[in-house]
Amino acid sequence: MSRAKQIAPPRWAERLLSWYAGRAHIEDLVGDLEEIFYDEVEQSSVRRAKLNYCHQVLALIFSYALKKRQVDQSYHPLSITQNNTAMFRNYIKVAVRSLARNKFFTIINVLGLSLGMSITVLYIGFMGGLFRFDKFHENFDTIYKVVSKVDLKTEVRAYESAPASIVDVLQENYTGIGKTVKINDWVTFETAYKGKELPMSGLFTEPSFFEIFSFNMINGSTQSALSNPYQVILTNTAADKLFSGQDPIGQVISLGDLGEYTVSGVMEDPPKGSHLNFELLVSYNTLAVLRQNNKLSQISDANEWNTFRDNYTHTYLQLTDDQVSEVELILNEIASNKYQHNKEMSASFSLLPMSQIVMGSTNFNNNIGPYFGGAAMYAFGAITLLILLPACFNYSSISISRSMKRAKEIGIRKVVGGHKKQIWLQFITETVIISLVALIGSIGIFFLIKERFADMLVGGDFVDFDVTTMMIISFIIFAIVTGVLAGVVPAAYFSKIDPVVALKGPSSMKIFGKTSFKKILIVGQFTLSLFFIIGVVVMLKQVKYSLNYDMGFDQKNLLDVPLRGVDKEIFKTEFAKHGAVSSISMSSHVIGAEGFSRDWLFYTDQKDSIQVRQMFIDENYISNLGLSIVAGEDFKTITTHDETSIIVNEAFLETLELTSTLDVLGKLFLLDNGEMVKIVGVVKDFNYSLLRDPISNFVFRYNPEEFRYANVKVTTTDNFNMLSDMEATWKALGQEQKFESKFFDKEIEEAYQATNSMTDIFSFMGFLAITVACLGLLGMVVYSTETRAKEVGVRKVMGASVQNLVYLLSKEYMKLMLIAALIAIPTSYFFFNFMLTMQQYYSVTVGSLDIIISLGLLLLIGAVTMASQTIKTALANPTDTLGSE
Amino acid sequence: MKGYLGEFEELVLLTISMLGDAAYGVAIKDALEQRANRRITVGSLHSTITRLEDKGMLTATMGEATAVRGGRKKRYFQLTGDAKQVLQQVKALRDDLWSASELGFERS
Repeated sequence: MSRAKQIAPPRWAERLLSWYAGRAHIEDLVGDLEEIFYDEVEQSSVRRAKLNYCHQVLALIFSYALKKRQVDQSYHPLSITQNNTAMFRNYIKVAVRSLARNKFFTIINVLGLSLGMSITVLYIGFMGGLFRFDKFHENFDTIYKVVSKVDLKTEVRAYESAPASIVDVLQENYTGIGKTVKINDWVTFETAYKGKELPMSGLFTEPSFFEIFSFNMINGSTQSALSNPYQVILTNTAADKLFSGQDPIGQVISLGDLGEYTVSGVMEDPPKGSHLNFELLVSYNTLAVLRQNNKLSQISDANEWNTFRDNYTHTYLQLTDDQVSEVELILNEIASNKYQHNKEMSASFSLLPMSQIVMGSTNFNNNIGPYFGGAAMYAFGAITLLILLPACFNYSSISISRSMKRAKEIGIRKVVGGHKKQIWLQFITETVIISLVALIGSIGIFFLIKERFADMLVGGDFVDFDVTTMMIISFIIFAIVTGVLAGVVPAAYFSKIDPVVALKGPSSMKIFGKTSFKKILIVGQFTLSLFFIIGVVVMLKQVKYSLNYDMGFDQKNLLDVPLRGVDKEIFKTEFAKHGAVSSISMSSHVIGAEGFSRDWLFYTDQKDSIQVRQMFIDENYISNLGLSIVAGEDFKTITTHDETSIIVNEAFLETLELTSTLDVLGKLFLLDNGEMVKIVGVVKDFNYSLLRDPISNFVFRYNPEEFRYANVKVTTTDNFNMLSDMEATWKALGQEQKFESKFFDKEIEEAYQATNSMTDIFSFMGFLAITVACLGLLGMVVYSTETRAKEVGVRKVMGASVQNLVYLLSKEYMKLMLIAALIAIPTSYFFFNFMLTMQQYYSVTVGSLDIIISLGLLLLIGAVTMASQTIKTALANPTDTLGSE
Repeated sequence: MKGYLGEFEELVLLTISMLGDAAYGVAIKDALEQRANRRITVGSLHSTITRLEDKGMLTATMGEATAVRGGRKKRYFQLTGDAKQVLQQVKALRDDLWSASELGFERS
């Protein structure tokens, strides 16, 4: 006995083991260890025995044996059931009952999650659309596009187009390429048929177009419809627009100055989710004929290998997998042959699989279709998470805040044998049910916003947003994942509740150990909210500023009428008869809204050229729009309206570095096509384009051939009668087409549609962020008012006023919101100032008033949220809150 | 065959059956260490025993208090019917393979 007292296993190791084991039964294990210890003491030394003892303890601590005993101890042996479906039905029943009982919080949770999830649903829907892009082509997997990378020595540019003859050279060097097709997408066609004029997007392409791509012909032969020059295929919609019902086959239409074409076929419209979008197809061999006739000289020559900017030939090949690397090798050889002696530039060519055209990693120049890829998509994903995650966190914190209400239920469950795992599953089930209900809401929101969203994106119209089975499955999986994500923290928390503590009374429970984390979350959410609010405020300001901006000309009471082939002189005389019309002018474009054709002006004496935007106007235009001539003369005062006179703007003078306006008059310039022009006047600077672009070199020219719009100045307030009168006149001119007219200021307003869409999306995001943040705040406030109900009661008994109490309960959260403001204000100030100037050259800046308004709005929303709970608590009768004690 | 048996699991089962009524932690460990000539920790032995319990191959009963181990009870293990059946099957399979293999001929 005395020996046993002196020599004993190390106590600390034994204590460590029993501490680690907790309530698990380990009597036999400790017994085993001790027996081994004394055996070893007899066989070898005490020191070795102690060392071995420690080793055995450690091995036990990490063993499955101990772990299993701990788990076994944590629930009653009878609670394990084999009947899982019955248990699962029970979870659902309990979940539904508990959700039905707490209607207020269920609604808040469903609302919060559906808003939070809606953006992700949009993202999934959008991504689903992107992944379906071009998949309707049967040859999707075998179509490759030849793309170019041009090294200009100063910079490297990637082009989706390739030299026009590359496929011919390729076929000389390599046999066995399946099918090839060339497409040229440079031109927008001015289609006209019997006086109807419609601009249409179109492609020059070869008959093999229909062999490679799966576009369907409705009427006409895919073999011969594009085999001869001057043949054109119309899409169904285009044919309806142009021929309104009658059979278009064999009819002759004119494509502006490109001549007359025979309609050789009608095909189905390209479906949504096609990167090739067009309204008509013109036979490719027309291009060569046109170039012989000196038309379309802007398009690079078929033998051009050095200019890529003006090359719009897209080459598609159909290849088998093992041909790809061989063809790329040959492309490299072709490139090194072509550019080995070129010191200024070189280019290389590679093959791009069809799947990479829309969603690839490279954003090519001269792209033929929309591009959705790269960083923007990741940013979109990040924003999605930025909205979704706070919503999940909020769900967690609201649930945990409410745990006091449910602690007894969990306690009882545990006492009668509820598994930890079962309680965990029960809460996860509850969250998944909520998230599935929320999914319905999110899908509703998705349908509401998808159009807006498509408007905002460049090329968004082409994305197929249709809901497919695959998409519905992803939505449901997403909802379940969200449910688990949002539910895992509360579920883990609830399953760990100690039944003894829970049944003793909720006030003894300690929750929110990591309050600082929750505070950071609240601050983060409010920062984001304030950021979006400021965004909406400044964007509205920007739109208002743009619409009221003094563009330098008179926008009011000006009606733009597209001529659509009506004779200008007849139009003038007929419309001038109207009482409301004060003056009429003609122009080739509508300023303030539309893009202009560019041209180059060359000095007669120098090589240097100046890029200008140009517009053709008649003699009444400048006075009609209230533009002012600062030097020289208007077209009006020149007796011969010859095409050689031009009027330039002041910015043009600055480019010429002339100080005196008079010096410029009479200066001669060469046009791109060799014509000589003379400056006859200088017009005061005005915003000919959207405020996006700075005022640059601008030239007015005179050429009645180019007039496409009539600008009618009216002096009436009775717009409706005036317009119907005008329509009657229009009909009297023998026009089959609809009379279209637009007020100038309306037209400009439409041009800011993109900004408006963006404001809408920002408002929506802001709304989401604020709602989600307020729900989170609500959760926190509910928790603190519930736990502090007794404190409030005592304070009230001692004489605290309702105001005091409301202040007491809210001040902590007010502080959090102010911290959020301190972070959000400088960040959004710099971000939006940058964004506004990126958006528009002439832009507003973020002012202190905008920030004050946004901050006020945020504080107001926050205060209302808090007040809804704090006032209730502060008004409560102390006898109710203290009575239970 | 009913469930898979690892090599160590098989050894533990056979040792328990060998020890009969005296099969508790230390006894199993000592017997195994002597015969198989390898060191085993209490942790790994009990993990295997626990797994065998999970598989329904072993049952355990707590013994009486003893003086030797500071008054702590021993936990005795018995093989279940399943375990005996599985062991038989394993043996039959092995015998079968032995007799079919060349090694088997050399030995006999």
